[in-house]
Amino acid sequence: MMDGLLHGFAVLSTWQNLSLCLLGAFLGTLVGVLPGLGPATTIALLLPITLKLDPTGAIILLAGIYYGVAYGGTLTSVLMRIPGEASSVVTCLDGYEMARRGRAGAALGIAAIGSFFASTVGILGVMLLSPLLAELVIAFGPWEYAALMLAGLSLIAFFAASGLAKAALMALLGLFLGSVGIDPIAGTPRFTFGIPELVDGINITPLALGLFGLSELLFLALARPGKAEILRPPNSLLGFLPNREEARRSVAPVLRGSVLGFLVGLLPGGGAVLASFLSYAVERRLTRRPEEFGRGAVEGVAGPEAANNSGTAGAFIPLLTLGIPSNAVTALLLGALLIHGVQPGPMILERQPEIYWGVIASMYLGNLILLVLNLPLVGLFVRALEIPRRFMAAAILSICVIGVYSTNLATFDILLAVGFGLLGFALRRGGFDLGPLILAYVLGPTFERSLRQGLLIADGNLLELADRPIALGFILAAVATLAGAVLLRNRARVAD
Amino acid sequence: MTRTARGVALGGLVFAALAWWEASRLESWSWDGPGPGLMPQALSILIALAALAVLVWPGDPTAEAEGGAAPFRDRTFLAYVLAMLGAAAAVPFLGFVPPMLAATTLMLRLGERSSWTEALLYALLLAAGIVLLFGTALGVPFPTGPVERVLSGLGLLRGS
Repeated sequence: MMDGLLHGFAVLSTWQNLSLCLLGAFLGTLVGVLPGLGPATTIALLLPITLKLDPTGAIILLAGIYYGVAYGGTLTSVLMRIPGEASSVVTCLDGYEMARRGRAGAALGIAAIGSFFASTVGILGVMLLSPLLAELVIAFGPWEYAALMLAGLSLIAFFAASGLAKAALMALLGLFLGSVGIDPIAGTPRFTFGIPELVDGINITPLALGLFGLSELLFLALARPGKAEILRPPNSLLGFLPNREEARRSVAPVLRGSVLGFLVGLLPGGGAVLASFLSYAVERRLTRRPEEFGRGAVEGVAGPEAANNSGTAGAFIPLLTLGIPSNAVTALLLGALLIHGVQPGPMILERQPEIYWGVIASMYLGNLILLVLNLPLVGLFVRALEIPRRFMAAAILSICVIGVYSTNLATFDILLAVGFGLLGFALRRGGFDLGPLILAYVLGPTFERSLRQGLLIADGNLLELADRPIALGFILAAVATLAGAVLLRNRARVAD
Repeated sequence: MTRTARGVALGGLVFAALAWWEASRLESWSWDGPGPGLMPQALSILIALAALAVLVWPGDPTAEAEGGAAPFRDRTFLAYVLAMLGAAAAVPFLGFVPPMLAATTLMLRLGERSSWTEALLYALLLAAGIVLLFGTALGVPFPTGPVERVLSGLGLLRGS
């Protein structure tokens, strides 16, 4: 493993990869500060730029953005009570109250140090668990793969905030969009309507840029401009250090948040958002000072911030070793890898170790960069909030158009992206979560191929599953998850 | 929110019907096993069922839809939609620069009520910035049009 890590640092040590790691962490933090533009939108916007990079450089840049966003969202949560992105929502509750009491520096410092520690725990977990999981998965056949994806999709429906029916509709729509183009086994064109650009299927760039980028643009148009109050960050680095009492009270929440976040990050549908909310609930239950929660409890900042960062790291395990994304952002990272001809999965450690270990090494370095750069640059990042909407919106549209075109050199894709932008707007207005759609779209082709290969081998006999205990286990888990989701939601409805 | 959710669900039903109609032309099972139509046919049935479920349980009726009650009466929103649609329709014929100049001017002048000077100046600056960053520095290919041909001739678009 040490050899692998050293190999990773050797890959990272080129000036290009180092710059990309730095750029990714910086851009991620900058965008994390801007409300609305979450990690999915940013990655979608920057996806086309990576086309000119080698696969390792591309994934290093995009991974840097991913964990940079988790850091950046904290700044506005603490200083303005506006979460830069979803996983920082919880930090608003106590972080802002700390800032109002004059402890903004301590809140940001605890968040930064806790996040650094948690990310390191998460990365260690990725290093230790990925090879083991890869060895286990290597024995999987088509049935196991299809069943695993089914279980993953059912978990997404379970965790989706929009409700089971809406999440199911989104996931099914995603699977359908993934089936457009040449059929993976028989080679028959499906739903192409004679349009040559559709023969290779719907590209992830117009889909992601439309659903996340252009729909965001339309919501930006509807946002009423207003000047939010920004609490002052400390002027000196010493101002970011917590006092002895705050440091003592933060240790256990950071440790718990690191482990909890990592475990939640592994789950499909999990990741940073769920991790931070769960950590907040755990800390609130365990504390001896429940009355302080919501009024500036340091545990309410330390735990969730640690959890969202280790959750971000944990989400890389299913992505790299199984080729299964656990949330919309890792789905886009998977899309980026596929565009570059990299197929993540159990064989990645053997066939493309430079990508796997390069990403791991970049995560170590990226976290260090975030810790060293972010606190001194708080003032600069907060100033990004002063960019007027009219300038930002026009720039987003231009980047979307050039980005969509450059992936496939097809102007048809721009029309597709605009169509998906309008669809994304309607779906979000209806309270639909776009995560299950993009996840199912990415998983769809592999799911279909595995299922059909399994059926071909078994001569169409579904009873073959009885001899496949792992696949059967995944299917039972999927059924149990869906049944559990229905029961829990019914209970909540009755309680209401 | 429930009104939009129900609208989406109705759209889902129509989509499922069209998808089924198209998918039913594909073979679902052939002599050697499952065919290309199996998955799309199954999916169109499941989409119809999920859409019906959303019609029955559209969500919290008290929650306001994201973006407010009447986006189509918002001038900025309409200008942005028009800019997006216009750019998508014009880029295949005119390349990148002229449609984006027009779209940015439209967004700023009509949508944001900026002055003509600010709108035109920002449109020019943005187009120049995008060309220099993406076309010159990164070598990203641009949709071809009369302006792009001139820029390529000047060596400013390396990817075209």
